[in-house]
Amino acid sequence: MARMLRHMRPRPKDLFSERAKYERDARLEKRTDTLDTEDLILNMGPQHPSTHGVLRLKVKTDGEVVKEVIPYLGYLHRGIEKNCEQKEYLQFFPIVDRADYLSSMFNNMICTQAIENLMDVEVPDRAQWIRVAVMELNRIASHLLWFGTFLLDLGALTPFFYALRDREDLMDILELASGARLLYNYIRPGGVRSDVNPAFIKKSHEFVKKFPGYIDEYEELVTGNAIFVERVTGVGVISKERAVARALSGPMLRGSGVNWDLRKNEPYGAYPKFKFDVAVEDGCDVMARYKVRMMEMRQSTRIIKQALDGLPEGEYTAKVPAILKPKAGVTYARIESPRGELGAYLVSDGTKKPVRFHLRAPSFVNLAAIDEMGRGHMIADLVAILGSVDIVLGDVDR
Amino acid sequence: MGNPIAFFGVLFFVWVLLAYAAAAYGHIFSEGGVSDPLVILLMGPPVVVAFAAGIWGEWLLAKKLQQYSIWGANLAWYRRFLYGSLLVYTYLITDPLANFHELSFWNNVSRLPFPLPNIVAQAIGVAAVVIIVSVAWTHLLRFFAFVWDKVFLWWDQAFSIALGLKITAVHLARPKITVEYPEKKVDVPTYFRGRHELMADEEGNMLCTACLACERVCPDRLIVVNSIRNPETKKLELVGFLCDESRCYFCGLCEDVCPNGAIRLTNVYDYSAYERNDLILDLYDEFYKHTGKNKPRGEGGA
Amino acid sequence: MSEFVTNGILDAVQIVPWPFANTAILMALGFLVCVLFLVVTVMYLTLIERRLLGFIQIRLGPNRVGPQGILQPIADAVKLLLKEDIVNLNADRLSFNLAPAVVFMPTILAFVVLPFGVAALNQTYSFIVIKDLNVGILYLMAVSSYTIIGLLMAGWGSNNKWSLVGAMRSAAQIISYEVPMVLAVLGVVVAAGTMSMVGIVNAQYHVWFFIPQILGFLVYVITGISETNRSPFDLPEAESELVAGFHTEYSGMKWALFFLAEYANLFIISAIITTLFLGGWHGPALPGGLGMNLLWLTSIFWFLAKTYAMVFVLIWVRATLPRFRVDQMMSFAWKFLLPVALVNFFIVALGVAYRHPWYDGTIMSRIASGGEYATKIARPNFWDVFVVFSQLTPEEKAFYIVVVFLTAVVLAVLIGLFVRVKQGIKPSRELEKQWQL
Repeated sequence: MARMLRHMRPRPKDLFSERAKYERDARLEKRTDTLDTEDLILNMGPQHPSTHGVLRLKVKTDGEVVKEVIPYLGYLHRGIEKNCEQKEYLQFFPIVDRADYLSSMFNNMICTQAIENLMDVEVPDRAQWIRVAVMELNRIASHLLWFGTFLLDLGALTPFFYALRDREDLMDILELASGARLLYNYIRPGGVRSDVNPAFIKKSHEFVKKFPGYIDEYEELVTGNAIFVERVTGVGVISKERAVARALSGPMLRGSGVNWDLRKNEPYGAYPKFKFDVAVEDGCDVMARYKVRMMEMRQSTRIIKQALDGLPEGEYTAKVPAILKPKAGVTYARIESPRGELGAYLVSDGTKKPVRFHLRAPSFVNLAAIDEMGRGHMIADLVAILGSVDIVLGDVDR
Repeated sequence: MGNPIAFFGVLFFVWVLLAYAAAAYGHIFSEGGVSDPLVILLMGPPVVVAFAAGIWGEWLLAKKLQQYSIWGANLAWYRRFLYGSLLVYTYLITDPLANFHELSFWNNVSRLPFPLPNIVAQAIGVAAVVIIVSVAWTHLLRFFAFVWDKVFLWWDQAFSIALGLKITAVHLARPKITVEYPEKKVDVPTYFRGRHELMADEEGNMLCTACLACERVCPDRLIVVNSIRNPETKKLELVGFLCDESRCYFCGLCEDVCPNGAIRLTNVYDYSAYERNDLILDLYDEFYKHTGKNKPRGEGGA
Repeated sequence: MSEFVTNGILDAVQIVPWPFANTAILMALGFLVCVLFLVVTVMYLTLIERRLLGFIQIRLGPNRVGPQGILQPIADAVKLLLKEDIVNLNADRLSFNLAPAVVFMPTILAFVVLPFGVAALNQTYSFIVIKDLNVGILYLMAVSSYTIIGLLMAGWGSNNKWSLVGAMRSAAQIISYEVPMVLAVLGVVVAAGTMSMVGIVNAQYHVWFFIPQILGFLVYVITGISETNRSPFDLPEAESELVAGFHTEYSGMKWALFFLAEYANLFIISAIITTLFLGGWHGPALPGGLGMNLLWLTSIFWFLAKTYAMVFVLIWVRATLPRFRVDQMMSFAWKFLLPVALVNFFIVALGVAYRHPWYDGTIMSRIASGGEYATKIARPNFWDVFVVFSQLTPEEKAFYIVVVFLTAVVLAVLIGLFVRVKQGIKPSRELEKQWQL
C-alpha cells in the first residue's frame, strides 16, 4: 500500500534532465524529415499593444519557434545620467525619479544612499522607519502594476482593473505622505522631505488590513487557473547557474532558486529590525517568478504593518545643508528595488555637482537574459516571458 | 519479479500449457478424447500465447517509434497503448470461450454432448485476468496512479476555473470605483503638488521677498523672478514672477527652499490650456487679482 | 412530418387570399423584421458587453452618450461610417473587399431557422420561425462553415504575412473545434429524433437536453465560444505581441462588419445553445397566467431570457479567463473535447437503444400521431419521465439505474465544486497564523 501511495506523490516537472534538454533542442533544430524552411525575422516593434513601453525586439523564428531574440533599446533614452552631471545634488532627485517611474521611492533611496555614503550624516530612526514603510508601499504598487499588465498580456482583462483599484489606494496613501502620486521626490539625504501625518498612518492601517484579502482574491482568480498554469509553467526557463552568470537580480534570481535579497544579505537602513521572509522558488520558470512576486507583496504588507506599529518618535530629518557638498570620493550603493538590484555609482569631487552618476538599472541587466530564456519557445510564450522579467523602459533606457 | 503472485501465475501458465499439449495430442493415446474440465482449461493457452506475442510486438514497435520521432520517445504513450490492449485481450480471452462450443477447429471438442454454462468460461477469463495482473502488477499500479493523478488534475482544473468565475461574479455586486468626473471629484489633500501660487500673509501682503532661492533651486530654471530694489528700504521688491508650468516637474523643491513659504504648490490639478504659452503662468498678476480675503494664505517659514 | 409540427407562421397567417402573394409578402415582412431585430440586437449587444465587462471590472462602462449610454452604439456606428476606408496598395482587391461580407453572411443566414416561440392560432400551434427546415441543424452547421472562407479571404487579401498567419490559425481553430461541436449536436439530434430545430425544441418538453447530456452541453458551449473567436480562444485576433490577426488592415465600415459579425455570432451561438440544450422557448407560464392567447409573448420571453442568460455567461467567461496558446487550444480540442463528445454520444446512443425516457427519440412520431402529447408541447410536465420505469425490460432497467448512478455522480461533482468554490482558498489565514501578524 505504501508503494502504491508512493506513486501518487506530486513530482516536479522535469526541466533540466538530458531528456528535457533533448526535447528543447529538438524543437530548435531543423528536422530533416520536413520541408526546408528559412528563418523569419519578426519585429516586435517599438509600439506594443502591451504596456511595457517602447521596446523593440527582433525575433528570428523558424516558423513558430523562436531561435534568437535581440532587443533594440534606446527609444526612451532621456540622458538622465548626463543631465545629473549638470545639476546640483538636490536638483537631480526629481530627474532620477523618472528612471524607474513605477518605483520612484527606490530611485530616491538609491541617490540618497550614494550621497549619504559620502557624507557624515546620522539619519534619525524615525526617518529610517518612514523610509522603509514608503519603500515597501511602493514595492507593492509596482508589483501590482506588474501583475495587472502581465495578465493583460496573457489575455485576462479583469485582474488589471482589480490591481489598479488597489494601486489607487496605495497612490492615495503615498500622496498623503509626499504630496504626489507617482513621482515622489520624498526621500532626501538626511531623512525624508516632510513628516507623516495621522491620515497617512490611518489609511495605511486600513490598507494593510484589507490587502491580504485582495491578494487572496488574485491568487484565487489567477494562480491555480488551468489556462494560466498551462501558459506559464515550463516557459522561460533559466537555471540557477545561468541566472547567476547573467547577473540577474530580484525576483528573476529568486525564482531560479538563489536565496539572495539585498535587504537580508546586505542590509541597509532600518531593515535589520524587521522580521520578514525572502520569497524563493525553485521552479526557474515564469510561474516561479510570479509566485515570488506574489509572496513579496505579502511580505511587504508584513513589513509595513511592523513599521506602522513600531514607528519611533523623533525628527524626520537630520540637519543637512541646503546645498549638499559630499566629500570627494567614489561610492557604489545598492538596494533591492522591485525589479532587482538597483545601484548607483557616484563620483564626487567635493563640489555641489557630481562628476559622474551612473544608475545600475536592474531591468537593463534582466532584459539581456530574454535571449537565453526565449529560445525554443513559441512567439506567444515570448510575451509571457517578457512580462515575467518586469521591465520598465525608463529603467532600461534611462 | 520477486512477487509470489507472479510466481504462482507463471506456474499456472506452465500447467495450462502442459494440459493443452496433453489434450491436443492426447487423442493419440486414448479413445474418446480427454476429460471435459481439462479440455476447458486448454482453450486458454493459445490465446495467452497470442497475447504474449502481441505484447512483445508492441514493445518492439515502441522501440522503433522512439527512434523515429518525438512522439515515440515518450514512453507514456506506449504504456497507455499497452494498458488498453490488456483490456482488449482480456475481453478476447473471455468472449470466444463463452461460445467455444461453437468453434469447429478442434474436432474433438465441437461434439460435446452438452452446452457449457457461461460461468465456466467466466472462470477461465478470471484465471486469465489473474495471470495478467500477476505478471503486470507494478505496471498496473503505475497505471492506476496515473489515472488517479489525471482525475485530480481535471478536478483541480475545473475547480480553478469555477473559482475564477466566482471572483469575477462577486465583483459585479461591489461598488464601482469610477468617479464620474467632472460632476464628482476626488478629494485631494491640500499639500498635493499641483499648480503654483504665490501666498499672502494674514494681512494680505505679499510674502515673497524676491530672495531668488526658488529660481536657483529649480532643476530646469523654470522660475523667473523680477525684482527691483526699493531705494527707501533698500530691500528687493517683487515686480514679476513667471513660472513655466508646461515643463514643470512638480518636484516641490521651490516650495521646500522658500524661506517665507511664499511659493506653494496648491492642490489644483485640472488646469489645462489650448496653447503652450498659456501655461507660462504670471503668478504676480494672479496674486494681485485676488482681493483681500481671497488672497491665498500661507504660513511663513519653510 | 404532418403539418402540425412544421407549420411556420407563414403558413398560418393569411393576408390576401392569393397563395403565392401571401407567402411572398409574409416572407418579405418577416425578413425585414428579422434584419431589423438582428441589427438592433447586435448594436445593443456591443453596449451590453461593454457595460457588463465594466461592471465585472468594477468600473462603469460607457454611460455618457445618452442616458446610461443608450446612444453609444449609434455614436460608434456613425464614427465608423465616417472613417476613411483604407485599402492596401498591393491588396488583392476582390478578396479584401468581399471578405467582410462573406464573414457576416452566415450569421444572417443562421437566423432563418431559429425558433423564437410558439403561437396558438386557429386551434393549432404555429411556430415563430422564418422557415423551419427539416434539416435545420445541419443547415446551421453547414452555413457556419462559410465563415472560414471569409477569414481566409481577409487574411490573404490583406497582403500582410501576419494577417495571413492569423487567418490560418483562426481557420485551423474553427475547423478543429467544428468536430466536437458536430458530435455534441449529434447527441441532441439522435435524442430528439429529428434535425429540425422546432422538432428539437418540442422534444425537450419533458426534460431540457442539458440534463441528460451534460457533457454534450459542456462541449457545445466551449466549442461555441471557440467558433466565435472569443476569449479564451481569441489568439488569432488579439495577439498582444503581433498584429490583430486577419482584420488588421481593415478600417471603417469593413472592420465594423467583422466586429458586428462577432457579436451577431455571439447572439446566434447563445440562441442555438438555448434551442438545443436549454429547452428553447419552454418555460413555466408567466405569473398572472397570460393564457393561450399570449402564448407567443410568453414563449418569446423565455427564449430571449435564456439566450441573454447564455450571453451573460459568455461575457462572464470572457472577462475571467486568460488566452490559450495555439497548440494548447488544438490539443484541448482534439484530446479532450472530442473524446468527451464521443462519450456523450455513446451514452445517448445507449439511451436511445434502451428507450430511456430522457433519451427518447420517438417523441416526434408521438406528437405527429396526436393524442395527449399534442397538448403537452407548450406546457411540459417533468414528472412524467419517471412513470415509464415499470414498463421497461431488464436491460433497460439496468441502463436506467446506470443513468441514475451517473446522474448522482455528476450532481455530487457539481455540488462538491460549488461548495469548494464557495469556500475558496485563503492562503492569508495560514500565513497570518505563521507570522502572528
